[in-house]
Amino acid sequence: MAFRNTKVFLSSVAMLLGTTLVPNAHPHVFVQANMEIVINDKGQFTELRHVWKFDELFSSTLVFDFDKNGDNKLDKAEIEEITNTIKSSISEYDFYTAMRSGKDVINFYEPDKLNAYMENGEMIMFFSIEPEKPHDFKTAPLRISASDTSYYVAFEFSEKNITIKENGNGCKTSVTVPDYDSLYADDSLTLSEAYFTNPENPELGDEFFSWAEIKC
Amino acid sequence: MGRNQMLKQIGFALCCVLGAAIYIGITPEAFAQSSLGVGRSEQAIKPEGMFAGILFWIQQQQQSFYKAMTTALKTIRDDGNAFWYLTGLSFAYGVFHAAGPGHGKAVISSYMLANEVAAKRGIMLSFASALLQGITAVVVIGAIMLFLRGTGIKTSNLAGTLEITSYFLVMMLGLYLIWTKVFKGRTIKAHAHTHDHHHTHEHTHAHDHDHLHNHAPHPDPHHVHGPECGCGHSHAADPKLLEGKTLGTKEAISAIFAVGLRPCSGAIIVLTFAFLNGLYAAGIASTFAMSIGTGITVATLALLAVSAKNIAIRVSGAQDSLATIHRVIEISGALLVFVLGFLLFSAAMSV
Repeated sequence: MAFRNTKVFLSSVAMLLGTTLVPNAHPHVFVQANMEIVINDKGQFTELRHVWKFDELFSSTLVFDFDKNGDNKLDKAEIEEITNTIKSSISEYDFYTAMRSGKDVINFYEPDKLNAYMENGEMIMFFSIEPEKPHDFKTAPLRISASDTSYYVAFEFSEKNITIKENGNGCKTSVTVPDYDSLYADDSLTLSEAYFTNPENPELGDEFFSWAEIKC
Repeated sequence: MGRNQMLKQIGFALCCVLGAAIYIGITPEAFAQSSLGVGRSEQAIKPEGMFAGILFWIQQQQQSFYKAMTTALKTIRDDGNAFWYLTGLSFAYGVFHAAGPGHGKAVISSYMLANEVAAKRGIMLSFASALLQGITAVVVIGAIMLFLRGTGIKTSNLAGTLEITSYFLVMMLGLYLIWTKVFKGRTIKAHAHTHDHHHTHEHTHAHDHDHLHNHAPHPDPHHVHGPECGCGHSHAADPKLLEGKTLGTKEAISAIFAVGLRPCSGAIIVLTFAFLNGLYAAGIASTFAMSIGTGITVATLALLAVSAKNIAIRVSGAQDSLATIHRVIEISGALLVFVLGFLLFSAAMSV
């Protein structure tokens, strides 16, 4: 009996391996993220301004869904409905924003209002995020990411999308893009599992997204 | 022994399914709606587990095809070329799309595990459900375009309703399969265990028999597993039992509908853009190219699942355990269909 059960078990394992039903998400929304980093006269980081450009296809679905009066355009009220919906939704995802002072998490206040307009069929959305405490570049470099941990929205940005505002003389920006080949080549799989079972740990999973690092 | 044995089998099948559910990483939260709040997300599951690397690669391919597709669409709008380019890209997108996420292949594969389905029939199921997904997408976007704009009915609502219906149907199909596998099987089982039933294995497509069962553990034309395997449908003891055939067909149609009612969000987005810009032919061609690509992958994966089942049965060897293993796999398949449907349905309802 024991022998038979072992065989039954092995067969089932073979069966399960044969049916890798692993569903995974893949983004249908692409956002060109532009970020403005505001530095005050004491050389501290005080504000992050997101300017996100949504891809044209996704933007067209917004026209389709929110154009109440059917004029193929999104007027002010219609856009407000979109931004309100987005705001209440992404508030559960930290507004797709992660900030670190070195390795420490920088907490931030909820943004007031999300604004948007349509330009050449693309929705441009912008809003501002304020850290609870100004970040001092003397203690550590500033690291910022615009990313969706649910993988619904794919954010793209490089050095040219990051601008330092006001007192940014002598600041240097670099962007690191995840290297998926090496991430999945070794033991990082366990790392990603650890992240998803323990999302409290801010460090785990960071390497799956692009980060901008600003040194001043 | 009889009753005990059956309980053990069911228990084991349950363990298989639970294991599978954990293994494939399905949790209700994981299927949450789009994080953005507008538009609908595919099942949002992070690539993890032992196939994460491959899945991530698939995801990246899909992403690049999707981006190329969007560029092609814009090109068509601006100067009318690139129609075939778009169609080809959509096909490739469909192939990769089905390899990544999606409940289609999961349901069809599990369905095929739960049933003695001939290979041809499995391929037909895969393509029919993929094509229906395409048709659903065209109908949804067409209806909104023609009748529903400005009524406040959103694509996401309509697609969402269809999605929930689809998940509900998957759940019901799973329940029905469990019922036929477990309980219908039991009634016949009482006298079936000890002796072989030497009736031939009748399929709706009798000529397919050889193709599928080349790898199957049928050393002779006699039915090696008794009717306790749940012969309530496509393999009936008596070829004249037409009821068995119709049941199989009905089941197949419900499987197609259960899967096909849920429009693919990639197709929805492409169609929306295409229709809004008056590119009707391009949008529809792209959608069906995607469907055909999806069908190919789903069929391949479903056939792989069945081959794995056959290999598992062959590896296990001993005659007397064949019936048990066969039954365990079939019940597992039935339970998987139900579990998938249930998890997807409850997640979709809870949002």
